[in-house]
Amino acid sequence: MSAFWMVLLSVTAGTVISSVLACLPGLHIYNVMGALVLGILALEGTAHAVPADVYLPAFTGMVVGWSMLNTIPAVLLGTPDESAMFTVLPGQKYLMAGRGFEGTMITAVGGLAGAFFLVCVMAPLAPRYLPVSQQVLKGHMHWVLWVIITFMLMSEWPKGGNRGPAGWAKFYDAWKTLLAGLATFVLAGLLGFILLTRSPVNHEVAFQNIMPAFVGLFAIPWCLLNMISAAGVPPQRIAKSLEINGDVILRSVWSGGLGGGIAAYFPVVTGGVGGMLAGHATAQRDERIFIMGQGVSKFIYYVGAFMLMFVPGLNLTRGGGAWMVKALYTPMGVADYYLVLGSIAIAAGLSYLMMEPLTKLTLKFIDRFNYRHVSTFALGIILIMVYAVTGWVGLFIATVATGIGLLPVLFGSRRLNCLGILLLPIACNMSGFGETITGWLGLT
Amino acid sequence: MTVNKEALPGHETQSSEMNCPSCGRFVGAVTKCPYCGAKVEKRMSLVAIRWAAVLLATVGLFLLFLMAKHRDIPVVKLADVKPTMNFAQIRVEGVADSDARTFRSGGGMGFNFSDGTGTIMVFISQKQAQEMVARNLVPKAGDQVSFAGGLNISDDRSSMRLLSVDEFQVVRAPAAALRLADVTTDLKGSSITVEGKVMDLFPPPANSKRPYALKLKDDSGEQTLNFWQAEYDQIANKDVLVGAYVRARVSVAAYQDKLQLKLASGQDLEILDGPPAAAAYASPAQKAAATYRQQAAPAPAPRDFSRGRSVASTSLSVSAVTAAMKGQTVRVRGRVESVKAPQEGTKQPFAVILSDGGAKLRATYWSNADAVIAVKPTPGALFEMEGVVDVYQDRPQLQVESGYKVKLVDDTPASTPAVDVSKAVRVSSITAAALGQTRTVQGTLGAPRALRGGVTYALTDDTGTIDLVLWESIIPVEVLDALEEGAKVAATGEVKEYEGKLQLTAASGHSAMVIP
Amino acid sequence: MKGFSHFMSGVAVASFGPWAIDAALNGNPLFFVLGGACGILPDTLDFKFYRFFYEHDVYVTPDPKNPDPQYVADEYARAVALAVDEKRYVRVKLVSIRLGADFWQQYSVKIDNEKLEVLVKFGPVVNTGQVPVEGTENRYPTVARAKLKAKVIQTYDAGMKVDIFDGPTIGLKPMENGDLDLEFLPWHREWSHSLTIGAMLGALVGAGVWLAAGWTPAWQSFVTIAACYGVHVVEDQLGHMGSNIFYPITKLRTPGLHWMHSGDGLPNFLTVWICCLLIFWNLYRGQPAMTYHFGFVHLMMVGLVIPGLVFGALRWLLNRGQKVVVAKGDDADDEWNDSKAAG
Repeated sequence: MSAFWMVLLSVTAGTVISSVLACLPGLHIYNVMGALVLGILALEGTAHAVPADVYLPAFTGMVVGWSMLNTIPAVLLGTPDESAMFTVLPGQKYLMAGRGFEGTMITAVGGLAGAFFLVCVMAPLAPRYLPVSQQVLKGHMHWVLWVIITFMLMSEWPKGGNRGPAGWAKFYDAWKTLLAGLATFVLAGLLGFILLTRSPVNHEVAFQNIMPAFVGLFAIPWCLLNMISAAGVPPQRIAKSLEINGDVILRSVWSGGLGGGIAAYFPVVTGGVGGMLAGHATAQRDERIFIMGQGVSKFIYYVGAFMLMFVPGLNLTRGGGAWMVKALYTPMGVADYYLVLGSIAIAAGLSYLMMEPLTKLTLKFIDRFNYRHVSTFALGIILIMVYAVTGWVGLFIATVATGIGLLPVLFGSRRLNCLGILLLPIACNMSGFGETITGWLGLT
Repeated sequence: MTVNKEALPGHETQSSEMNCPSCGRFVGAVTKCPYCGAKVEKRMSLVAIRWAAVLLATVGLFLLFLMAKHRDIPVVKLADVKPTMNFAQIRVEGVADSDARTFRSGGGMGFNFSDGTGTIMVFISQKQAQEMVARNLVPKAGDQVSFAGGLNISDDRSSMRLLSVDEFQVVRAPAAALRLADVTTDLKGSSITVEGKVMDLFPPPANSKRPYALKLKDDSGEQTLNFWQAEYDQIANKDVLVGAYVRARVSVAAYQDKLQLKLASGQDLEILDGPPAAAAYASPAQKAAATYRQQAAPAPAPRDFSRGRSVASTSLSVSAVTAAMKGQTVRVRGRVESVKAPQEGTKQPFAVILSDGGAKLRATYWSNADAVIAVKPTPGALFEMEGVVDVYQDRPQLQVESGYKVKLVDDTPASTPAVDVSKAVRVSSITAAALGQTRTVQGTLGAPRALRGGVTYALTDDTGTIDLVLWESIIPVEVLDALEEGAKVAATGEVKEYEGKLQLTAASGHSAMVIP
Repeated sequence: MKGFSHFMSGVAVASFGPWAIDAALNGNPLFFVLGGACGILPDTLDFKFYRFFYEHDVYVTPDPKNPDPQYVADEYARAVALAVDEKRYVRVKLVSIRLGADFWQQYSVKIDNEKLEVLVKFGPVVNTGQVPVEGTENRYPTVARAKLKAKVIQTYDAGMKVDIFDGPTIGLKPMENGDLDLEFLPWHREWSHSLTIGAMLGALVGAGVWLAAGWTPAWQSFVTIAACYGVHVVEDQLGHMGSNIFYPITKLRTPGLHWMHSGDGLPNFLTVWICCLLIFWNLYRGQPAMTYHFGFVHLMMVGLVIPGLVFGALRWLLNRGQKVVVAKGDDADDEWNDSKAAG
């Protein structure tokens, strides 16, 4: 089979598989990719070794398909991954208004616009300008993280203190949610210090040692709350028009591109933070722009980060997908870059086409099955996955992380604070005093 | 857009515990009604979930912390490292393959580690490096080391990041004491101890990233020790270094086929009270010879505290010295164009013409100053001289008062081209058949592309384009600084292949130069 | 301007201090963190601290169990009468009505100066996302009215809709002609939005740093704090509402230059983006060994002018023949609602 057909088939297979998997709540494509990496490594050196021309396009397709279609469970089932938490706010408004289909499709258009932006604008410029920016910024990544942490903590709105006379009682009432947010951030940060310094997860599967914590912080609390509250979803209707125009798309690209770009480029900054920054940076009053901007941001965060690894002369590894592929393969110049760009373009088109039927299928599924049962099913998948990869220790870590992940939900603070798990220890490490803190904790 | 909900929201859809039992208004999770002040009993489940979350988050975290704290980091052989162990914290035990070296940017350190089953690069952060220097833990080639680190695995180059300085253990490898004459490039890669008298110390030129050079002399010969600013700063009593007797543990290296002795840490250099004892020498013959030499050696000269102080290493170019500076003490750097010694029987000074571009400056000093100049000025060499500006026939000249103020900076004559342009071949003539061979090319540089530890330029001549790769570790900074997009250059290097494309990897040293 | 724009402006201003870049290259992020924090601090002081301690003369607290628009109208009229009769500044708090965990009763207050009346209408029940609950739009069709003792003049079009989280505060200030000047969120941009306060804060922190670490970091901290705090005040002055620039020397807000509304998309994005470019430029200048070299004009062309022109051209192409309406807001209203919406 010629290389062209091999690549085309691989990218198609990767996209289709990830698009279908993306509709399953609670399952992250990086977990699936991790399992595939294990398989590919096991086959290395045998007669059935998988060539890079097969797994590179397939992985690209998987990242693209997932970043595009994961909006479906995020909006329709309310089980967001970390990066989708901002999509959910307005997205769920659409769902509760019976316009879930519209919400997912607007996000998908955002993803497609993000693909155009990435392939047609960013990709030609990246080899020339990103090495320059990397050289300028490489000594400054640590303070960028600190600045993002500062903004994240300072921009949370106090949700109490709405009633009663002025004074300390009112102030305390307002600050309860903020203090809960700070506590969440610190506890998540401590968990991060433990896992990044002396993880109890078996070192043989250390490449997934943060996974149980992420699942516990973000996915499990959502499933639990759905199971407990069992909120009803109103009947959904299929819109014929998305009521978007060129202006909406352009403004979405500018807002989402900035947020997603920051998240993709800077280490540890995730799509959720990128989405937050995109929303804050552009002050859009139009809800459609906000939702579509989140689609752009999510696509650029996941796919852009993956693409960075292949930019000639840059040599930058960002995002879980790139880290996993790095263990298998070292990109080699422009040929690989074109391969990945082509794969991104094909996969983006393909996954967009799959968006509509899969959304409708999911809507039918929601109609037929109880929301509570769906959440229970998702929780089951998640727990099995955690146990399969990291064993009982992983389940214990996921349990502790669930406790932390429930705090913002139960005390009314931002779930974004859970990202302290990575932001705090890595910012401390990058600034050079991480070891001092782990020394205080007795971990080193 | 509206929410479709049959029942009126608020009290009707809310569980009763969310409303005040007294006034019926929504009160949420509070236990005291903000409207009427009545006590609000909560259903057990909500309270339980909240407490469970808090308990899980705090007690669970504490238990996890205890579990992690008391868990031994597994000792792993490098041969057993697998890609799935990426980000794992492991302990390794083995030998430092190389001296730890400080990176030019970032201030971190790195060394190669081997445990007999594999080798890996170990990265040490700036703070950790400072801590290791303070505790004298910086590993040197041959040292036994044991430490915990985080794995970073990639397909082409894996590495470890040191987890903690506290857990870093080092057992120093014994270093043989050798006379300077016995140190040869055959010892490359090993650590040795040398002793002798510091004849001179040359700080790096201003705004350059060149190392310090310390001329050390014993009764067998003379060698130069190289070290960076960071190591220089660590040397105790460095102000009295010149003229002092020292003992230094150095690693032997070769640079451009020349022997180099590298001082990895300022703490490895010890100032002795007097001439070194001969007992330190390795072989009995050396020992006997050293004893003899020690007996024959004159009493140590008193230390000259006025010399060798660390002074600001800023120097003027020749053209910057003007008649208006008459009476000022300046330090000037230039190429020696000519040296005129005084004729016998006359009382004339030595006259050296320093040049820099088109500018020239006459520097003079007396015979007694010349007597103490460690390396005499020779035409073509780059020298630095410090003296008082005087004016003769309206032109400035430099009166050097001390021979110690005449220092060699670079003994490579400027007139000798770094690259022999006459050997240049056409780019198109470089084919796969030339792989591994040395070629010289000339052409115009394209846009630079940064590499980790170097830079690549596309070099184009009339016949084609080839990537010219320059690694910072082997190409002097002044060479790299001189190159830019659009510059016409000549370069010599080895033909290599990368990603199916031929490229020229510039040879170490002054292997690339801008041509007019 | 939005909080993020102020924040980024603070970081950008901090990056102009060579000491901030030197410190950052040595692993010390404090000056940049200080820059961002001080850039947003004036709003943080107002929204997260001061407003909870701001005393009100009249609390309009509708009963969630029995929402009565007439009560709101009467209380509003009482507050106006108080200001007129006692010839003093009267502060009114319009308290929000929470019905459930995710439900709020929306109501709006409108002034009709022609008829000297206040009109209060209870709207739909909304969720925390401010989405109306179907079937609740006309639960309270009545528009309650109450007579006012004086005209209430609004110099800008602040929305007087009360729904989620906290309700707004309004200030009624008697004017010489007998009318009342309405100030929306009088606790906002009062003492906190002052260059003097920024300098005082800088001096206070600087003094502490001086005692702890010496003179050099002290003046560097002072300059960073004062400049980054000050840039917030200056930026707010570009809008409509203005700030009390030299409090405590000045007592009133100086009206803004009316160049923009604080919630406008383009100015906010441009501010953030230009700040990013300035930070990049300053970091480049502070980088000791660069392989690449470029000038400021080059950076601005590549980073701002060319993308801007391409964006403009694309927008023109895509929107030909269409009428693009961009919602306009109000400074105080924008900040109030956007902050709440941001969570």
